[in-house]
Amino acid sequence: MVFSQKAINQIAHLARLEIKNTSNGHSIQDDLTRIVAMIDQIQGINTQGIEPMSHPLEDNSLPSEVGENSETNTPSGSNTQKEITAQRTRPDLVTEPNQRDTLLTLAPLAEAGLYLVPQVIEE
Amino acid sequence: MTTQSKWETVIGLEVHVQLLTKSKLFSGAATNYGAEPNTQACIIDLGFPGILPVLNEEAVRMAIKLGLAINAEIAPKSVFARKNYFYPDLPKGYQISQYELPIVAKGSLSFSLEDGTLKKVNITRAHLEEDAGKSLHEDFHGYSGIDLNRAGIPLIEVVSEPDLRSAKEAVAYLKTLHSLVRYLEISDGNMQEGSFRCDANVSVRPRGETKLGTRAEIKNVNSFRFVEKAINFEVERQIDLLESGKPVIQETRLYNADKDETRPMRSKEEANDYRYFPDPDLLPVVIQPDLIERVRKTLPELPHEKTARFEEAYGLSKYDAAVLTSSRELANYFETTVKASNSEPKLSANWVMGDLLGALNKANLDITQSPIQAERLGGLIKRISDKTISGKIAKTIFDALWNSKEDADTIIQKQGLQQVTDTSAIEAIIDTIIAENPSQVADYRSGKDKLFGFFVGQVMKASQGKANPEQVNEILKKKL
Amino acid sequence: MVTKTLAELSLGLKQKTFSSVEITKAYLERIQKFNSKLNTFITVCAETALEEARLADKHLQTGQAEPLTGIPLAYKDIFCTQGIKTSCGSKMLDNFIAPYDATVAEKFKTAGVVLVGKTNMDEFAMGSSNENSYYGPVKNPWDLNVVPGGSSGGSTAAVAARLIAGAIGTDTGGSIRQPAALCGVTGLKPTYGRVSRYGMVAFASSLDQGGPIAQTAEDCALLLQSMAGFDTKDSTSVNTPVPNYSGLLNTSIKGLKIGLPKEFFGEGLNPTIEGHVQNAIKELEKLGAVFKEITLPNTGLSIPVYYVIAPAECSSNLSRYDGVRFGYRAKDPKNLEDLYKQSRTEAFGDEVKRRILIGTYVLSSGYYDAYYLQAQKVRKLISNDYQKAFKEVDIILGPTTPTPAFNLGAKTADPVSMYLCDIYTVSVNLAGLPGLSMPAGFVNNLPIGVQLIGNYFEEARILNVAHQFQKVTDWHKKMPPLGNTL
Repeated sequence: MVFSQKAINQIAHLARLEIKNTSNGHSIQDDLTRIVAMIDQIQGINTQGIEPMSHPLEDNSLPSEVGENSETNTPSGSNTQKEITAQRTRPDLVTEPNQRDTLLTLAPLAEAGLYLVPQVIEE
Repeated sequence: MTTQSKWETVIGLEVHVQLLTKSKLFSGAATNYGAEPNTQACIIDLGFPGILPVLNEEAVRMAIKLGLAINAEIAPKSVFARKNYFYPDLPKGYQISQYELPIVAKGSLSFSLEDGTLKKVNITRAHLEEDAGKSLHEDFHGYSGIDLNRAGIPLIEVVSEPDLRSAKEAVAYLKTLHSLVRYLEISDGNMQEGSFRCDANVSVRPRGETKLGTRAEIKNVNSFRFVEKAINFEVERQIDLLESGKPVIQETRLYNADKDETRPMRSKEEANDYRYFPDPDLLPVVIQPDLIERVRKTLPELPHEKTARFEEAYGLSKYDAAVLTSSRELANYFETTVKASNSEPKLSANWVMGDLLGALNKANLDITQSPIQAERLGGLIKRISDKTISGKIAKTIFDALWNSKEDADTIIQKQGLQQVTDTSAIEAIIDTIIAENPSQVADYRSGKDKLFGFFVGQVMKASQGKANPEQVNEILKKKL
Repeated sequence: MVTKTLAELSLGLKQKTFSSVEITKAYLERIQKFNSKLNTFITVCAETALEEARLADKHLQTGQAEPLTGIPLAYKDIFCTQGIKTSCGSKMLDNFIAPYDATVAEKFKTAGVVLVGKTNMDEFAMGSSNENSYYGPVKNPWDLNVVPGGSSGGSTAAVAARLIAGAIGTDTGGSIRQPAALCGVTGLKPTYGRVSRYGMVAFASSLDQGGPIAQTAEDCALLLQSMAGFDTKDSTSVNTPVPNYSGLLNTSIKGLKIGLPKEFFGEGLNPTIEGHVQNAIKELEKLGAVFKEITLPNTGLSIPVYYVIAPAECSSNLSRYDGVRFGYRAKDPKNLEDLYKQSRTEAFGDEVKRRILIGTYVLSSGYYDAYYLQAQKVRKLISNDYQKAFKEVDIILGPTTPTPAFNLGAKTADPVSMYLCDIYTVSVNLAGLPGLSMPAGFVNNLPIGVQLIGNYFEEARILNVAHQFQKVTDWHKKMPPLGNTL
């Protein structure tokens, strides 16, 4: 598919980027069209019944006992799959002190302890 | 407010409940209200390069609590997703929320309407997400100041089905949910401080029509009263539009309390495509049945259970039971009072709902700040019930209880306020009054019944209010 | 001294043959001499390094020092280092002094490492040639007209030129292994979740991993030992014990089953490289390894899948760069929209912008199912391929890159041609497996590498095989003739 200028503008706006011609002499339109043509290769692939893989730490990605294939002395993992693949939680404790002064020095524009942006009008 | 029987109002509510965790949903920064700007925003909340989120276990527990209390399904696996958009109060440029797989699904909330009927509202889902910061629009010479203390505080968003049919129903639903989250101690529900934020999706349709009309979303109304007014205004506005042949536009609107109207919100969200996708920095939240059971055991008696129990155990009316259980603190206060009064539920109900709440309202205090502890109030009621003092004298003792730390017995003793119940003593006083007021006696005996009150008054005055009123009445009647 | 391996330096420090200050000074001098030509370092921390070296020397006196105490290292400028500029190779963070240490940096600090400097990289880790840096391209020390590979090109070139004995990089689609191959050094991408990502500026969160770069597998084992381990600050960090990598290097590989994916030896592979891979196979066979052809049928889809998933995640990860709390901010924005657009447009390079746009596109309404969701499913197919293969073999071997290093500017006109450099490496990231590249020969005097891929958490195994290979070959000992060319 060839990217229309309108489509590019929409995407660029969502990403808060302005489209200018790139240094390689091509237009963004060309570049994106080329890239999309390449990624379009996944379109025809039959993935019926396949669960999407959000990250490698998924249920059946890991061997049921870590290290079981190993002939070296790799010790087997002490965790079950469930423990490895489920989100860990932390206790509800305040562990971060007030670091405003340090962090605010990194801000491009700040005043009275606040980060400043051009005025936002909501109504 | 017009009731157009031609039109049906359809309302769905989204409530953002701020959770009472000590630290944030994904970071260990503090969550106290009112802190100096940006003093409770750590690098994780500020979205610094390289930071990563780690989930707060208490927030998960609170979500499970809520789910159980609304009879919902607790998802064995739920997923955090990124909601992507740009706004200064959103440091990472995305909010970590839940999209396709929320932690709680398919619950319901029931409550009594004014006419006594029970209304059940289905709750589509409730999910965990992080709150955004605050923009202070005070003019910093053309700039807005951003405070990110609030960024990252855990929220549960509770989404109802569009089952509500009037502003009043909407408010009743909100009050029920509000009371529930406070009962569960997962939120302080403080609407002024923003811990309980309501968005209403309002639409109308011709009565009998099953398809939903176009809805408008009214955002961030911060009191029950305003919710009711905003919805009513919106319903009228939409009916007016449709009746004059114009369409309702799907948009977000803000309620202006001063003008009592809703106006379209300047596009913060425009045609926003949030591009939700599972957050790759977080793994799915897996909730095992034994965790759910552990949380279930920590559930307090829920509001509707308590209300039912109060009706039965204390013989209270539906209305009184509802008032007394409107907050866990008030319910506890009442029950402690009853105990201390030696089981006088009806008297206790009257005193708590009447004199106590009246005095607290006047002094702008809530039940937890009451100068009169439940035990002391109960002590007073005990003395009314065992006739040590009269109901009238009790009112003065109430004031004394309010202004001191002494208990009723001490005050009664000190001020010698015991009721006079000795029949002969009362008779003596009555005889004296009768003797001293011959013309009134004659008038009364000749038919001026109204004068009875005069004699009662005289007897009470003579006895410094301590004569038992029933006995006074009885004996007076005999003697006159 | 500067040609010594980390193992040799560690021993020398322990035996007091030289001091940390001496070797640190030696590297700093060499960097001073060659960095302007190679452009490998963005920041050199001369003063603090010498201070750290002095402290390390004190600690070394007590006899209780750790293996890495006093060892000078360089970190890719994507690792947050407290109080030190952390630029990610971008104008966006040119003025960013990190307020905290990445977990990996903290671990190295505790181990007594001397931080010599932050290395150049493709902007936000996006690139395969280190030509996308705000600070200019890195040159391959083997030939200054040629790219070192990317995105960890600064780290690999620095090690190749012996400006430092060890460095760390990050690998999202091959960014440690590919430049390691093109520069003639050894580099390892650990299993996803093995090394903490806290403080490692995110490009694609489900693919990024930090890893060691050094002359030898032995050195990589030494570095990985300190880097690996569970971190409570990273929800994707895996709590599984860290083996003794160094202790396992000398395990015999007799009977080890090594798979050769037929898809890795097809069209597009430079024949000389293939020849070198065949030689490597012969060497390993001599040591008792047994080879078998396997198939990874979905290999051909790995580039398209990668270029859906990585841009999608990066488009979201890079939204925080908005000129508000840190980093570059445009001058005199007219309004909020302007602030965002100008800051981001002025401070991001072209490749970063391309990937943000592609990423935004594949996540957008109407396209999510066809692209992002579909890519995640095909990703699963690719991962399944590997799991099937690992039922038949213990590790997998193949070339790291299809060609040797190319000329600067040769592939900048067509982004897709640049993407194809990673054909053998990206599937490893998609599956989350550990992968290593070791030097295995030359093509036209330019180094090339052989890649080893292990199953989850089998870093010890692939380090072991690489070490055995390096005991019987000397490709890893070759150094670019810097004296003449620079």
